[in-house]
Amino acid sequence: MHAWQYLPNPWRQALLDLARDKRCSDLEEVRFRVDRPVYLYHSGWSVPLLIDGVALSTSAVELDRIVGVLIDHSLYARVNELRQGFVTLPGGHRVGIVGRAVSHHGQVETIGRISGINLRVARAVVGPGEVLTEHLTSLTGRGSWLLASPPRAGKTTILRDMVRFLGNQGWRVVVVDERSEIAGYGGAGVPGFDLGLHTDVLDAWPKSEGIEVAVRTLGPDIIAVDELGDASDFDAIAAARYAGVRVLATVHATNPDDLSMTWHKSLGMFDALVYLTAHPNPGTVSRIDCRKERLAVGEMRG
Amino acid sequence: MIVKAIALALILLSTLGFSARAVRPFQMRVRTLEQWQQLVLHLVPLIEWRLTPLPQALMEGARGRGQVELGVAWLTNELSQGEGGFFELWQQMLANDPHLWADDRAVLAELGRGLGVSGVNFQHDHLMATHHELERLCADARTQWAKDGRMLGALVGAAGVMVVILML
Repeated sequence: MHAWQYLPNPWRQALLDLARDKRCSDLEEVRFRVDRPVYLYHSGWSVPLLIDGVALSTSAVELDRIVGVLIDHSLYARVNELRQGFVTLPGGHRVGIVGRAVSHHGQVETIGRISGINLRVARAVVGPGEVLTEHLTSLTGRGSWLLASPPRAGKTTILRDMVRFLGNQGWRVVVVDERSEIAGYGGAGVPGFDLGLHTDVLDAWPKSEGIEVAVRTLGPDIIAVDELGDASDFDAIAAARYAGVRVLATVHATNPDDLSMTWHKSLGMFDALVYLTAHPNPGTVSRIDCRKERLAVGEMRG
Repeated sequence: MIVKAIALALILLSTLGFSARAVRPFQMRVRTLEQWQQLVLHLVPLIEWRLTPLPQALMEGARGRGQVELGVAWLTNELSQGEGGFFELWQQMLANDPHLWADDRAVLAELGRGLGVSGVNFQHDHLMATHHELERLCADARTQWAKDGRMLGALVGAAGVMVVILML
């Protein structure tokens, strides 16, 4: 189901009408802000959403209603996701929610005074992952690869396509999908996106626990994870590497300096670091660092 | 003579009917409140343990509970259209239930205001608080049924009997 279908009217109808306009058919995001017009974001431009020709602003009550509809009026079932500031809709569409956190004993129990919603559309792109996989294989053999980019540069989309390609090649791939974005769960345990014939999805598992479970019980050739965030994620990946499992992962970083500043000691686990950029299009590879080259540079410096 | 006998029989029958009708609001209020109480108790595991989405939890909890089931079916249907806010639709559902009284609607409106808008712990507290309130309302409703309801029924019955006696 398209991301817009989850919204209530009048926004749903306005966006569905827009989708027929070719220019707006591949929008990246829709942002609602309290007492401001709704804005549509593409990679290169943004325009207000017109409803009957008028850029209507959204009230706080309407934002509450939109969030209620998006989470099926069941915050208790999504509170773990909301603690990270977003929920994922079936199909992998991510909804970021801006508001005041209401905490109890140090844990966020609910989000009040909602002042903004950011609906990011997930899309399956077929092709670039295959090209990149083949290129990386020629460079590093059957190695582990880390995709790095700033937000909205296509990390998850490329990772998903690589998983699909490898899964169809006969590799046993396990996706540890903490945020349900890679598989875009479609309800009842079914992935929303095609991830290949030999792929299993650990949906909503925290990365470190999911990787451990995958290694112990699912006998994977490859583990795929999105957005590594802290040391425990890298520790889990190290454990998987020691167990002889290849890892495909993504991380937020703009350039090699960013990456090595934070994760310098952990980067040796990856045979290739792939930097992606949003320009000219999301998913563009700006640089590939292979471990062999990094080691050679290190030796020269040494 | 036959006409008179038929008229008497009709008066007696209608007296019985009116008497039952006078008692019915009291009786139906008790029954509806009991059904709400059961629904609220049923929601506890559905929300707390199974994290069932609210529309499904309400449907499951209301199954086989007469008027409450009808109201919940209407509510979930409206929610699936995504047109109105949950609380507005909840209030409309309560307003459409003829068996609830003003006090009952106030307590149930508070239930709707808090449903689905917090984490599990607060949902549990909210449901249990509503359960206790409904228990109190049920006790009041049963007392009213026993006192006012039956008295009203008896009065209507007595009025019918008086008419019969006068006719004789």
